[in-house]
Amino acid sequence: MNLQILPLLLKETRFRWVVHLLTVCLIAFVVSLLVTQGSLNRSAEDKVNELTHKLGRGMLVVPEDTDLQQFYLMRYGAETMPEDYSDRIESSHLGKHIQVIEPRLYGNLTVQGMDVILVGRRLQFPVSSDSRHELVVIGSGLARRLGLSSGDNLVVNNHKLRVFAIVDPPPKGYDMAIFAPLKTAQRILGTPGRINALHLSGCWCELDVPALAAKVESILPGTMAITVDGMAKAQIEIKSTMEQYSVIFWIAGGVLVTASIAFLLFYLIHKGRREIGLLLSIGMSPGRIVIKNIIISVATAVAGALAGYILSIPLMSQAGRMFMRVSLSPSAQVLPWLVAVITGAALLASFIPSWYISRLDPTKLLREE
Amino acid sequence: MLELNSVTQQFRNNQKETVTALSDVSLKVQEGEFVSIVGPSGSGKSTLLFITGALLRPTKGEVYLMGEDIYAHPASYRAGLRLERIGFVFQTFNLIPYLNALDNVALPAVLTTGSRRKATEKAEELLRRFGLGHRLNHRVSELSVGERQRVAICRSVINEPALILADEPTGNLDPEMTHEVMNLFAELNRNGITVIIVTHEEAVASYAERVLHLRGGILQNGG
Repeated sequence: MNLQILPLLLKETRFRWVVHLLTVCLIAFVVSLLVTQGSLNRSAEDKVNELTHKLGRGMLVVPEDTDLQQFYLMRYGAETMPEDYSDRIESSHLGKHIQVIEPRLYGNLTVQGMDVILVGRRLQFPVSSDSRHELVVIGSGLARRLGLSSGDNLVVNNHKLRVFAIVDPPPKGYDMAIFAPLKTAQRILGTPGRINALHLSGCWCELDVPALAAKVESILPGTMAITVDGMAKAQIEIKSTMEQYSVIFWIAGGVLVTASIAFLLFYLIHKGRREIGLLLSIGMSPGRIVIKNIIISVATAVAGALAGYILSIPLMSQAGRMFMRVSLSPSAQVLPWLVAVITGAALLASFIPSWYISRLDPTKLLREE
Repeated sequence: MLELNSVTQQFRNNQKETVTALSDVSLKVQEGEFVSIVGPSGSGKSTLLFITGALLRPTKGEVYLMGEDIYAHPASYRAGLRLERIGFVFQTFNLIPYLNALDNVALPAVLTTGSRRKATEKAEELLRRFGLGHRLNHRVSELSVGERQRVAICRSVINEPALILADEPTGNLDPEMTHEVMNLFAELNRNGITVIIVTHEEAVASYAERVLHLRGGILQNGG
């Protein structure tokens, strides 16, 4: 292909810019959906991995009415269970398999207009000389926002607290948290003797984990036991279903892109029949015209893909906030797939128009009015 | 220069009937000749021109151009021949609408030389010579019909062809423009280019040195 013919391509594109623009817009729309869907899938997978990693080999026991989705989003409901459930599980026949039992009470508070998470857990503090203030540990973000440092006092729900220490860096997600002894947390939240989570960990690699969870639930009535094993199975099923839909989605996208490029090429051939006749008559070979069309289709597809990738940035941000409550950006891992699908679609799309051009009779084209 | 030996061309029409467009046509044209082929509409003039111009393989017969049987060679050879040795001029000009006059004329030279700069310089020189120096950057739609045909003639000669084939080149022109365009062909012929024109107008045909008549696909007065 003579590169000097490229200005001809550009001028033709400019002359019929509307149809090119429409094709680019359509491809961009499809691509942005593909990128968003692909990246959402990957982000969801990352989130599950992160959660699984967090839970490790542990088991989480919560009141059975707990909304788990809200729980993992750190929005805690009013559901609680007795604090002595920790003793009950320890003294049961399962106790020997469990190394750590940690009762917790989580809650949401508003402190000086800021949303704060209260984490009540078994904490050992030195005995305070000032019995009017209860000792707590706070996250560094909260300390910064409230201008607090160790030894400062604060009031939460009419309870006087004193900052014993600041956790810096805090555990992920607990930047704005107050860590208090369980009893203190129960007093603040007005739920004495109650907890809403029991973290168990141990070595149950040789045990039937789902059966173990069922036993825990029978020992602790009104609870549900969540294990990584169960979550992983559920997520694997969800992921497998999502992947099946992804394949369909990508095939549909590919077909749409192919069809739109093929439509563009047929439109250009139809509108430029006499031009093709002329080019053939002045000695341009059908092969050159075919290459010219392939360049048009690949360039249009690439322009559409780039526009689509850029369009997916705000789209993903919106979709992420809507579905996962986080701001997402397009995954770079989607790009190789995108390039492969788009290039394939462009080449496939130019196949039939190219064959059609090779069959055109220039003498008929030149006689057309 | 050009020799057609017993060329016959048949088509199948929409009713699947065989139609004979040219019947056993033989023709010899010497280098530097100016020949007109006159005939009414449907007489096979354009078909004869397309066969001569390496665009349409005849059903029967041979076509020799500069000693070569052009249809014995592959399509790529014929494409090269059209690009470098033959110039076409059409009744409807067949200019590319999104290019200006300069780019339309330069196009064949760009394909041959690969140099846009050289092709443009040559196209500009030609357009100025043909009185279109003030129209270089005008789009086709901004040119008069006479100017369009002059641009088409410039395009046909930019690669310095040995043969110009013109299909009803004055069909869309008024008498004044017809005279002007035919004088251009005569001038090109005086510069050594062989010119073959097909037309239905005797007056146009009279500009040529030799006039042949084609009726019903048969060359009347011999080639």
